[in-house]
Amino acid sequence: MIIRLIALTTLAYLVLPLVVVIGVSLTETKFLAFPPQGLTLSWYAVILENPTYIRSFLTSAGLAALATMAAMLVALPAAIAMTRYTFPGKSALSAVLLSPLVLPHIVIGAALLQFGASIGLVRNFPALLVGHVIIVTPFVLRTLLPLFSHDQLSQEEASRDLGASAWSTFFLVTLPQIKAGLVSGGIFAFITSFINVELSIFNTTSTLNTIPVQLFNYVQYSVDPSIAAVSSLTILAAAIAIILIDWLIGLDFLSGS
Amino acid sequence: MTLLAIHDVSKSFSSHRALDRVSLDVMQGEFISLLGPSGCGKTTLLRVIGGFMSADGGRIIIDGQDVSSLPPERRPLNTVFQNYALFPHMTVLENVSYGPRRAGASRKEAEVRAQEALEMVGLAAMAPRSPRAMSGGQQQRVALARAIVNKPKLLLLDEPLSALDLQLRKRMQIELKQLQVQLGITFIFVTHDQDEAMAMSDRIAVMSAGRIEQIDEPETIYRRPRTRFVADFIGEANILPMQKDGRSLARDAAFDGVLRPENLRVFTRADGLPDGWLSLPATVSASTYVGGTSNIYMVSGDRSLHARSYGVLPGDIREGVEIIAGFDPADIHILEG
Amino acid sequence: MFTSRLTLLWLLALPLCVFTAFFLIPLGVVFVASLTTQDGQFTLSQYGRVLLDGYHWQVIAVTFRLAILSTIICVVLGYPLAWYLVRIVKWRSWRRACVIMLILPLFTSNIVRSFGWMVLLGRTGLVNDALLGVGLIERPIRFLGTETGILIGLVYILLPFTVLTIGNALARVEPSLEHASRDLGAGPLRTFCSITFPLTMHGVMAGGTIVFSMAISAYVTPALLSGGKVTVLAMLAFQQYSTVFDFNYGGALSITLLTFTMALIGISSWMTRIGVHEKKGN
Repeated sequence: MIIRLIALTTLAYLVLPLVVVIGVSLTETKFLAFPPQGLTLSWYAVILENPTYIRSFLTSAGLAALATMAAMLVALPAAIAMTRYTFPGKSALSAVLLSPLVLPHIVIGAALLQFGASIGLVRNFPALLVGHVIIVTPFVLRTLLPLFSHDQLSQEEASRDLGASAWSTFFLVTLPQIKAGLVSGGIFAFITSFINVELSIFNTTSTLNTIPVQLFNYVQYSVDPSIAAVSSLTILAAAIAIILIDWLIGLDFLSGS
Repeated sequence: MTLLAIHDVSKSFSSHRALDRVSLDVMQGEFISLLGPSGCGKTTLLRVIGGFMSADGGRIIIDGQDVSSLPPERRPLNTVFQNYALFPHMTVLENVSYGPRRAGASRKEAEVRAQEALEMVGLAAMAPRSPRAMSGGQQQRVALARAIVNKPKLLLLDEPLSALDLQLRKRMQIELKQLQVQLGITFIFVTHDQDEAMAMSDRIAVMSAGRIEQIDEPETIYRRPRTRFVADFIGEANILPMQKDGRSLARDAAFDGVLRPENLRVFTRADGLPDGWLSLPATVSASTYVGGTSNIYMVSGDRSLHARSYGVLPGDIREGVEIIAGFDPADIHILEG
Repeated sequence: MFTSRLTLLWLLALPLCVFTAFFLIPLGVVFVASLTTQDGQFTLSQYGRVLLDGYHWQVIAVTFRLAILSTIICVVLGYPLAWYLVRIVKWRSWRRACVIMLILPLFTSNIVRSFGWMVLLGRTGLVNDALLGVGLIERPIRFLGTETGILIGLVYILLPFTVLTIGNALARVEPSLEHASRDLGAGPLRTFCSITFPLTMHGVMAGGTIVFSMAISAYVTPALLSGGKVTVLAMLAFQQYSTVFDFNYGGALSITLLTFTMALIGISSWMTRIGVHEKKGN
C-alpha cells in the first residue's frame, strides 16, 4: 500500500510539469497562470504567426532529420562490423562510438566549437549537423547491436545459396529484420537532436537558431504564455514519437516473467 | 559420370588444419555421407563446396566447371542448413519461392513452383503460415522444399536431422532417401550419426582430423574398415592380435584384426567349438539384454571383448563365470599397416 | 560469407572518419588548449586556476552535492515506482500507460520541463499555493535560485532513467528464487534484502551511474532554475566559451568536468565487474 502511494505520487510528480505547461498555454491572461484562467488557443496563433519560430522549427526539424539519416549511415556499417567480425581494437571502437551517451554534451560542444573555429566550421548549419551526428549516432548503434543475431548469419548464407547476391541479401533478408530497430533507434536519435540545447547553443546565431535554444534564450529573460504554447507543441511531438515507438517495438518491457 | 570433383582441398584456421588435402569424386545421382566426429572437418568441407568459405588451396569442379572462386549464389547447388535458416519475416510460401524469384521467375510462376515443392514434402496446406509457428519437423521440411525447388544438380545437407527426436528422425531418413531417388539429385549429407549414414548412403566418406580415412559402400566400411579409426568409429569392434595371414592369433600384436561383436560367440566348454575356429579364454564381466539382443562383455587378459547374439542368454553365463570366446577366422578383417 | 578484411575496412571507414574528425580530434584540441597559454606555451597554470582557487572548489562542491543528492533521491524514489510497475500493476494497458508517462518527459526538452518547474516553483506558483493552503508554511518559500529548486528539477529530469534500469533488472529476477527463499523460511523483508535487492543491484548501479554522470554535467536545468544565483561546473565552462572567450581556461574546466564524469563511470563499471566476479566465485 505504501509502495503504491509512493509510486503514484512519483508518477504524478513526473507528469505534473508537462500538465502545467499545457495548462499555461491555454490561459487567456498575458502572464503565466496555472490553473489557466479561461481557455483559448490564441497563444498558438501568436507563435504560428511569428516567422522566427517557424524558421527555428524548420531548422530544428531539418537538422534532426539529416542528423538521424547520417547517424544511420554511420551506425549501420559499424554495427555490422562489430557483430560480424573480430578485429583488434573492437572494444575501444565500441567505447568511442557509444561514449557521447554519457560524456557531457557541453564539453563535446565546446570541443567542436574550438576545433571548428580553426577550419571555419562554426556558427553555420554544417557545424550544427556534425555535432548532432556525433551525439545521436550512439542511440542508433545501441538499438542496432542486439538485432544482429547468429541466426541471421546462416539465413544470409541460405539467401546466397538460393541465388541472391550480397546486396540483394542485405535488402531482402537482413534489412527487413532490423528495420523496426533501425526506425525506433532513428526516432530516439531524431528526438535527441530535436530537443538538444547544450550542443546547439555553441553554434546558433540570431538567424540560425533551433527551437530549444530559442526557447532557452527567451525563457531566461522574459516569459509569456506563447513559450508554453511552443513547449506544448514539442510535448505533442514527443507523445506522437513515443506512440510510434510503442507501436513499432512495444514498450511493455517491464512485464515480469 | 562424375558430377562433383574435389581436388586437394585444404583449409586452415590459424594453426588448426581443418581440411588436409582432401580429394573426392561424387557420381551423378549418388547419395554420399560425410561421417565423422565433431571437428573432423566434415562441415568445413561442406561449406567449402557450398562457397560459404574459401579453401586455402585445391579445386572444386561441378559438372565440369571450376567453381572454386565463385560466390555461393553462382554455384549450381543448394543447401539444407543445420538450423534450417528459414527467413523468419517471410511466410512458408515466400521462403520457398525465394529461390525461383532470384532465378528470374515471375512471382506467379515462382509461387506455382514453390507450391509443387511443398506438396512434395507434404506441406502444401502450410504455405501461408509463418515458419516461426511451426514444429521442428515441419521447419525441416520447409527447408528441404526451399532447397529443392530450383532443382539443383547437387544438394548439400548439413546435419539436417540432428535437431529432431528419434522417431521423427527415422521417418525423415526414409522420406529423404525416397525423395533423393525420385528427384535423381546428388546428395552430400553431413552427419555424425553412423546409423543414419549406414541407412541412407550409397557411399560413406569417413573423416578424421581433416582427412578422408576411407570412402566406400556402407557394407564395405563395416566389414572391411581400412584403419583402426574407421573400425572403432563405425559399429563396435573387438581388436585382436593376429598373424598377417589372418589364420591364427599372434602373441605379439603384429597386426590388428577387427572382429564385430555379432561374430564372436561364447562357449562354456572348449569341445563345443566348431572345427577351424579360434578361441581365447575369458571371464564374463557383465551382460545385458536389450531389444531382443544379448550383449556379453568379457575380459581376456588385459583385453576386453564384446559379443552380441539374438535371443536370451543361457542361465549359466553370469558375471564372473569363466568361458571360451570363439570365432571363425573368416570373419576377421586384418587392418592395413 | 567471404569474410574479407577489405569488406571490414569499407564498413569501418565512415564511422572511423566521422568520429576521428569530429569527436576525437576536437577533444584532443581541447586537451592541448587546456595545457597551453594563449601564446601556445606549455603550462599547467590553467589547471592551477581551476584547482587552487577556493571559488572553484565551492562550485565543484555544489556540483557534486547536487549530483550525489539527485542520484540518491532518484534511486530511493525510482525503486518503489519500478517495483510498482513490475510487480504490483496487473493490468497490462495501465502499465503501458505508466511507461509512456515515464518516457514522455525523456522525449521532451530540458527547457520545457524546467520551464514547467519555473511556473510551479515561483513565489505564487502552485507548490507555494498548496503549501500555504494546507498551512504548512506561513510565507512563500523561495525555490528558484536555490539548490533545492535545482535539485527538484534535476531529480525530475533524471528519475526515469533509474526507474527504467531498475525495472528492467526487476523484471528479470526469477520468481522461483524468491519462492525458494520463502520456502526456506525467510520472510518477505528478509527475502527482499538477501535475494531480490542483490539481484537488482546492477540495475541500481547502472541507473545511478547514468543519473550521476548526467547530473554532474547538467547545464540547462541549473541555468534556468538557478536564476544566476547558483553556479555549477558546466555553467562555468560554458561562460568561458560564450562570453569570456578564454578557450584555454575553458578547456581546463571542460577537461576537469570530463575527468570527473569518466572517473565516475570507471569506478562504477569497476564495482559492477567486482560484483560479477564475486558472484562467479561463489
